[in-house]
Amino acid sequence: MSKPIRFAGLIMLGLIAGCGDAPDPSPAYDSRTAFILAGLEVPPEHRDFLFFDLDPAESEAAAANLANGLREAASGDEYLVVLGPDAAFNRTTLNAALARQSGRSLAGMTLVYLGPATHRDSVGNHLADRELSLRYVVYP
Amino acid sequence: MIRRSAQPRGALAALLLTGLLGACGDAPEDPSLRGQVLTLGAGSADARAAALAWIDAHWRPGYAAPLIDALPFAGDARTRGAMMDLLRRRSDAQPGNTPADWQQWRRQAELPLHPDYARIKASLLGLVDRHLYQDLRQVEPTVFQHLQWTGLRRTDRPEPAAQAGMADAGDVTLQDDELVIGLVMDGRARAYPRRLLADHIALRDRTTAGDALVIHDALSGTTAAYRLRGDQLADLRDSVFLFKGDTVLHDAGSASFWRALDGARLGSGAGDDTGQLNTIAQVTTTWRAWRQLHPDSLVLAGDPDRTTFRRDKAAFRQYRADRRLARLTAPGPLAAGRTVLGMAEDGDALAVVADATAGEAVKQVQLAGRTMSILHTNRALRVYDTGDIHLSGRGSPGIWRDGRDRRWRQTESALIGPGGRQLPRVPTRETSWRVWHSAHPHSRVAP
Repeated sequence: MSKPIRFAGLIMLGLIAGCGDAPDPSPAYDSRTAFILAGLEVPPEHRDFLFFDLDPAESEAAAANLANGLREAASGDEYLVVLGPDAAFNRTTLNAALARQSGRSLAGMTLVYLGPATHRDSVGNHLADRELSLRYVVYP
Repeated sequence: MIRRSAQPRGALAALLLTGLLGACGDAPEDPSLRGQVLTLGAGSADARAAALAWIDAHWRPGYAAPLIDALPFAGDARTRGAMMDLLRRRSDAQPGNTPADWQQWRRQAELPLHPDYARIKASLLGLVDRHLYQDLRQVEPTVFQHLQWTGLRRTDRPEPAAQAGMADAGDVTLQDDELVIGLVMDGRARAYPRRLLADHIALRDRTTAGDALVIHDALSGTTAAYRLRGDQLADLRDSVFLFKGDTVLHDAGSASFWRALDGARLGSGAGDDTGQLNTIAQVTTTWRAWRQLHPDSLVLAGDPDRTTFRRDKAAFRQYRADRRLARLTAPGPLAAGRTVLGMAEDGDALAVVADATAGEAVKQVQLAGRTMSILHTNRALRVYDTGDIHLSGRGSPGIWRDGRDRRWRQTESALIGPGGRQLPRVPTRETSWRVWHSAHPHSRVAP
């Protein structure tokens, strides 16, 4: 590596370290707030909607239940909400549920999905060919 | 070779450095702010503390406005105090210890807004009423920085009076000095005791010529009347929000919000005919004075929705008694809560202090290059477009004389003179100076 690049590399390391020194707590997840955020996305005239508060402790059944929920929501033009404290688990579960519904259109349903901003694109990409309406809510 | 290749590498390094600086020192506004602000109002105690710590750690100038907006929604007094502590530390301001103090400071400070500000604000207001949130999302984003919650919940707000019970003047007993709002519609004079209107804020009076929507809000001070078709805005009622201090009505059927002062749809553009209600000229006067002019008047009899409106609701009593908003100051020559009669036309605006003309029979003013006359009769002010006719004073009751001693008969719609010539009434708005000045910051005040 040439000297200018070494120098720039040192500055970059310093900057990264500087960023790391600042207090940088992750945004907090609160279930009450999550429920409210999800509820805001469901029009009041939809008195009923499907709701999946995903719990990593129940990972075995989660994907199967969500797959059933997706099928039910699509058949009834319903709203389906997915949220939970573990964003990575939520995304994995959604992907697994979609895999169980492989190739099937989910047209008619609206998926309200709560997740971090960093998951928005990957969730959107996974749903791109399913013809459903996605309301991605950045949370936490 | 080394020299030539070093240049692009240097440029690449500079780009990387710029990117890192951007990520560290001047990061884009974080989309997580909405959820964290909402947590301050809806979350558990631990979550509220964590949310505030996150907001502090990621602070940007654009965070101050939503944090101030969230103060009335804070989960408890401790959280609200911590929020104000953070605001003091970050803004270096000491406006006071109430949400209203911070709102007042905010209006003067002209704070930058977070890119997601409108959605954050709509979400906070959605804590009041989820139904309203869906309709708020259809409102222009620029509106939100002027929207304010009155403190009323959906269940606390008065029910709309769907069918006003009108009776003949001779069939009701009112005190002579009771204030009424009077208007003429369908050829018939109609009076609404202000005390009853204040309970409902908006009241719909059905006539054969359409409906009169009569508004009086003791908090904003706004009094106005509009003509509606029978099927127009059928669900119109108080929204529990204020826009620039003025009462805002909401119609669930059309998902629209309406400003009480000028009957304009919130967020609609100029020239949008569907976004403007038709004004009815109205006057605030005493029952005695109104009855003298209109002995055959109909009058609102009793509480029109006695069975549905829960007047014993503590929140609404608190709302009626709340003077924190009314105490807010306003620039200009008048006290914020002073009642004014306002006129606006072609970019010109004029405010007349409602009681300043007491004792004067006629006052001539200019509005948008036209001469108008403010007539003072029996403690009521009415404005007519008199042009080159100079009224000199009052003759017998209801009759005015001009400089050539011609007689002009006063009606609620016009002054009727020789040969049936009519000088039309000019609809005016009655509200507090604070609300009028917010809507018309360049308004003149009649001397």
